[in-house]
Formats: sequence, structure tokens, C-alpha cells
Amino acid sequence: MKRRDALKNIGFAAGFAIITPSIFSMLQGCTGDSVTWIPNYLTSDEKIFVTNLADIMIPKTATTPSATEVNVPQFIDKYIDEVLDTDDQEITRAAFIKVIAILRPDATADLGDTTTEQYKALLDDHMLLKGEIDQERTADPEALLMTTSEFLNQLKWMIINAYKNSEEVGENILAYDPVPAAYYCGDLQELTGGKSYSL
Amino acid sequence: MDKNKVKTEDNQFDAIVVGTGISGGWAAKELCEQGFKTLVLERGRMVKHIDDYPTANLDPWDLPNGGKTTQEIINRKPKQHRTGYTTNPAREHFFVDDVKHPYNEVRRFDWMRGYHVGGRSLMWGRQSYRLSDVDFEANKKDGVAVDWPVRYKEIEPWYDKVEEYIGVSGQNLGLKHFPDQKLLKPMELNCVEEHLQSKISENFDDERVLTIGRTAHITEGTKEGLGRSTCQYRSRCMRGCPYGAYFSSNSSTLPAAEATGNMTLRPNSIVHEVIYDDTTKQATGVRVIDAETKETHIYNAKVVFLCASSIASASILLQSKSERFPNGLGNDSGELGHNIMDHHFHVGATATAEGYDDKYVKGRRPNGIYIPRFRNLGGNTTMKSFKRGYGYQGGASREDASELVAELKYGPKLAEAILKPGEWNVNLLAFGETLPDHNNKMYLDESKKDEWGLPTITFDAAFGENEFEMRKDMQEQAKKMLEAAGYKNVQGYDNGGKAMGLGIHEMGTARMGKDPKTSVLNKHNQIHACKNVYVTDGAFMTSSGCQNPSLTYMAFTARAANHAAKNFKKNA
Repeated sequence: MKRRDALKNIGFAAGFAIITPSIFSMLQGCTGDSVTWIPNYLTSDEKIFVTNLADIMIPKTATTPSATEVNVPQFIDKYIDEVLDTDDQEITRAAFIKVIAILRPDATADLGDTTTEQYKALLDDHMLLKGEIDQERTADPEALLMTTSEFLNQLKWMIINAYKNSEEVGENILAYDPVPAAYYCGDLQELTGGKSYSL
Repeated sequence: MDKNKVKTEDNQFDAIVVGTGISGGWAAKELCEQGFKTLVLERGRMVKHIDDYPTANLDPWDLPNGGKTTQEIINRKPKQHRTGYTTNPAREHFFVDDVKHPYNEVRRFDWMRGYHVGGRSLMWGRQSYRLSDVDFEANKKDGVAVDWPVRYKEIEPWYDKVEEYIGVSGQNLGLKHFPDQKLLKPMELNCVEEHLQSKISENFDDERVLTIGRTAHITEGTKEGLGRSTCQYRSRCMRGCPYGAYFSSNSSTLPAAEATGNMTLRPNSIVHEVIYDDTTKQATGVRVIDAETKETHIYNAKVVFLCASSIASASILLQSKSERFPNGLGNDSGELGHNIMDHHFHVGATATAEGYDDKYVKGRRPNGIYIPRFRNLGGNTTMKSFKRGYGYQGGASREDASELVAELKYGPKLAEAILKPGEWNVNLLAFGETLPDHNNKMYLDESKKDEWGLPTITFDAAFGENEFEMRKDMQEQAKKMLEAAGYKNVQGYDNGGKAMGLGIHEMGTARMGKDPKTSVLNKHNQIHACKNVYVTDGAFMTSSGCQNPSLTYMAFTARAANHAAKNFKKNA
């Protein structure tokens, strides 16, 4: 139970999408500055990691922007800095150190040289999906620190939430209906063309 | 407090109303409309309808961190944060700073407060149900606490009056224990809720029925007040509604009082004492500390209405000590501050409804379903393990992320999947009645003062055995109904009952009754031994029912104000 509570408190476990939409702040500044922005919480390696991971998880498609195009890494940095308490920030830091060490076994190497294939391999090998058993967790059910898989899944949900609640995605990609003026049940295709609402 | 700074105002009023929330707004409106020159005192700042709703039109991306509560907010509002939703940046400005407004807990009590003009009428849940004689007769029938001194017939016309003025939408069902109301057209059930409704009727032979929630929203036409119009289904109610679609003091009753020319509204006015005159055996007025200048003022009136909230009104009375009332004004019975009740909830069941993937909804309905009480109403509804009953709220909605998202790790397929709605979930969330118990109480701590030099409040209350027995059934029946509907993944839950307060329905601290030896107020909400003081917020509740209580506070307030208007002369 302790472990479950700890995860719940961090607040961006799977399911967070549903309970509390999380989005990028206008206060963060201009768009498209993923190279030049200076993080508040993330280290330079963590910034590189989150930036690359975000676009691998949500790449640009013919009709939708990539995660970095809507400033997902900046959102995540500010969110960890301002929303998480110090305990959860420490848990997050420890998880970053662990996962970056897996990605880059030689600590003296430049993380910026890591290839997309290496990131995908990290996810293929270490990020477990629903129904798969997390050996690292089974080995220590009460451990307060996140397992590699738990952390990668949490980052995935943070990235998704930040993305879906950015102004660009919220107003132009998802179904945006600020003043519906009515409530009724209807056909999904007719109402939104099959998309979710952003609000 | 520096007595040298006391200022006695020249102004003599006919009436003083303490508080501007659900009850205070109604007292102000009724007294002013009866021609009483009325001073309305509010401890917090001014909030003007629309002008002072700064977040009403903000989208999530317009708020820092997507509207998620920051550590900075939590550090100032740790107790207000206990709900999990009140400290959201979209609405936290309507909830108090716990550091500035501290209270103490022997047993944990989650006291959610809004110190500003309009009080919690701005952030309330808006569900509006009447009590029935099942509730008014309950204490007598069960031999619990004291009998209510009123019955449904006496209060019915006041419910009518309030509903017609504020606008309540919903569906009448013609049930004796769940009285019909003066309702505007109901909001719609969605397709899954309609299915659940039919399955409940088919599968249960007791009184249970599913209906749309009755909520204080205008669903057709307009209502009196400041341009009050129809609900736009944005579901941003707790931020203040620019359409005035749901009832608040700010959009409705206070403008009505203002329009008479009889109201003087004074924000930043902390009432801490009702002044009692032993020669006339009546109250003469109130003592006020200006929240900003910290000067003390005395205002006089023929009648005083305490509408400061159940806890705050009891606190003012406990502070109002005199030779006649050494334990607080009106406290001959020793019941003042006792019998705190709240509704216990956070128990029920959830499930997944399959077969509706091609359905979605237009709009964000600020309302859910309601399953009125179906326990202990006689016949096959009688329960051996607990007294009273509970109702369910909740409903069906689509998740905003599909199951497919959980099965993908990265790439264009994930980018596409995250844009699609997820499965339909159904939630039945029970709200149960709490029995009054003398041991559940609040009192003053004279050794811990706030920044105005006033004693702080200490809570010592908890839910009891009857509530915990009831919770088992609340969970079990929720599961049974969802199973009967054929839904998948039915899961019961019980995440509550640990502490009172989260229902934000605290009540009962100055209960009404027939006997002055066992109650604080009479049937007209007057203090038994000081009849020009009325208490019409949740403090008067003799039992809690399981219904959301604000509508009842409004009806009793309107009735009490008209009683006062008949019994006290204006233009003194």
C-alpha cells in the first residue's frame, strides 16, 4: 500500500490522463525553443533524454505536430519543479539517473550522441506494458523508488498529457468545444469525427 | 483586542445578516424586500458577479502547469487541499489560506471555507433535493437525538418559493420519500445512463430508481438577478459562471437585496460577538473587527441573522458570553457546537460499459445521475444493520484516452491513438446520512488566537458505527446494480469515512428542537431564550438526511426571514 500511495502522490501515473489533464503553460514562453530553453529542474542530460524520448513517443505525422513542437519537455520540467514535492522530485531524480545509465553505459560519453535506435531499444527492453510482470518490482514490492519500467511509463503519460493539453493540440488537433450550449448523447463520428474533446 | 478602538456607529439598522453565502443571501433578499434596512456583514473580500471570476474563461493551457496544484499553493492551503480539487489554480482563489485562518483538530476534520462575498454559494455542488417527512420524522421514530420541530407541510411552500426563484432543473418522480419539486426541464441522461436506468427498474423490486440529478442550473429561459441565463454546458461552475446559469448569492439574491435600496453590504467585517442586553433579554447588535484595519465596530439592529456557516455561527455564539449566557449565547442546553454532521461518501462502485464505442456526448454536463434513497422506507427496504439511508450520484462518461494507448510504447500509432476517446466508465458514488452524536463537536481554543486576536476553533468529531455499517451496503448495492446492468470490470471501492468534512456539508451545531433544554433553536430558527437572533445556516439541522442540504438551508432561511419580518418592527 505504501508503494501504491507513493506512486499515486507523484500524480502522473497512468490514469492521471483521466483525472487531471496536464498541459503546457503559456507562461513558459514562446514555442519551438526546445534547443535554447534553460530548465529549472532537469539537468542537461535529463533535458536531452526527455526531449528525445518525447519525439520518439509522439513523432510528427502528416497531420499532427511532434511533442517537442508543442513544448512538451518544457512543460515536464516546470511540472516536476513546481507541482511535485521534494520527496517525489528525489524519486524522479533517482529514476532519471538509473534510466540514463542504462541508455549510456559509459558515463563519460556524450548523451547527445545516443541514437534513436538506442532509445527505442531502451523502451523495447525496459518499458513493460499492461499484463507484463515487472521483475524489478516483484523483487522489492515496497521499494519507494520507481522501477525503470514504472518510470518510463510515467514519462509516457506525462508526455501524452502535456501534448494533449498544449494550445495547438487542444484547439486545433483535438475536438475543441469551449461553449457547447447543450448536452446530449450522439454519434461519435458526427460529433467529433472520432476524436476526443480537449476540454 | 484594543477596546479603545471600539467605534459605535450612528447607524441603527432594522436587521443584521452575518454571512453572504447560500443562507445569508436569502436572508438579505427577504429582509430587504420586506422593507428592513439591513446591514449585511461578510468577513472576506468583495466578489462582484462576473468581474471577479478571473479564471472563468481560461482553457487548461492558459493556466500554469495545466491547472495542476503547485507546492506553493499546497504550502498555504494544506487543509483546503484535502479534497484534491479545491486548490486547483482555476479555483483556489475562492478557498481560504489555512496559514492565515488556522483551526485545530483533536480528530481530523476537513473544513473547506470560502471567505468572500457569496461564500460557498460560488463553489457549491448545486445538487438540490428536498427533505421529506421520512427525514423530519426520523429522529423521533428511531429514538435518536431530538425530534425535528417541523414537518414537511410547513416547509413545502418555502421550498417552492426558493426553487422558483433560483431555478432548479430535474425530473419529478412522484415519490413520497423524494418529494416533487418546482423544476425546470431536466438535463439529459446519456445513452449508457439510460441503459442503466432501465436495467435498475427491471432488476430491483424495492424503491430504487435512477433519475437525472436535480441541480440549481437554469435549463430554459432566464431568472431574476444579474442577467441570469441558460446553462452553456461548459462545466466550469466553481470558477463563477459568467452566464449566471447556476444559482449563487452574487448573481441572484444579493442583487435582489441591493435593488431594494435597503441593503448595506460591508465586506472585510469579522463578526465575533452578538451583544446581549440582560434588561430587554434581547440582542442589541453585533461586534465586528475590520479584517483590514483591525478596528472594532458595533452595529445595532432589532434582529440578527447568523448565516456565517454552521461552524462559524456556532463559534460566534460561543464567543458571545454574558452574565445570562456564560457558556455562549443560547447555550442553555449545552448543545451549542455539538452534534456536527456531514455526509459520508467516497464509497460505491465503478464499471466499464461495452457496446457504446460509436457513441459520444456533446457538451460537458455539470450534473450527474441520482438514485434517491431506497433503504429503511418500510416493507422490504428495512435494514437490520443500520438506520436511515443513502443516495447515489455519479454517472457514465467516456475516458479521454483509449485502451490502445496503454498497449503502445511509441511512434505514429501512439500519436494517433492518443487523440481518440476511451471506454465508457460508470461510477455510482454513494452519499449517506450521518446520525447526530453529542460527542461530535467543535469548541473554542482561547489559548490559540488568530491574527485578529480571536480564539481558534477545535474539532473533535468522527463518523460512527451506523455510518460504517451503512457503507458496506452502499458499496454492495452499487456493485449489484452495475452487475445487473451487465457491465464489465465491476469494482467496489471505499476510500472514505476517515474524517468528517469532505462532503462540505457540515451542519448541526445549533440544532432546532421543541425543548430548550435539549436544543438551541426553536422551529422558526430563533434562539430559544433570545428570540431576535435567528440562525439559518446548516447549524440548525436536527438530522442530516442524505440529500445535499443547501436547498433546505435556503428554504428555512426564507421562512425565518419572513417570520422575523412579521414579528419585529422595521424603521426603528
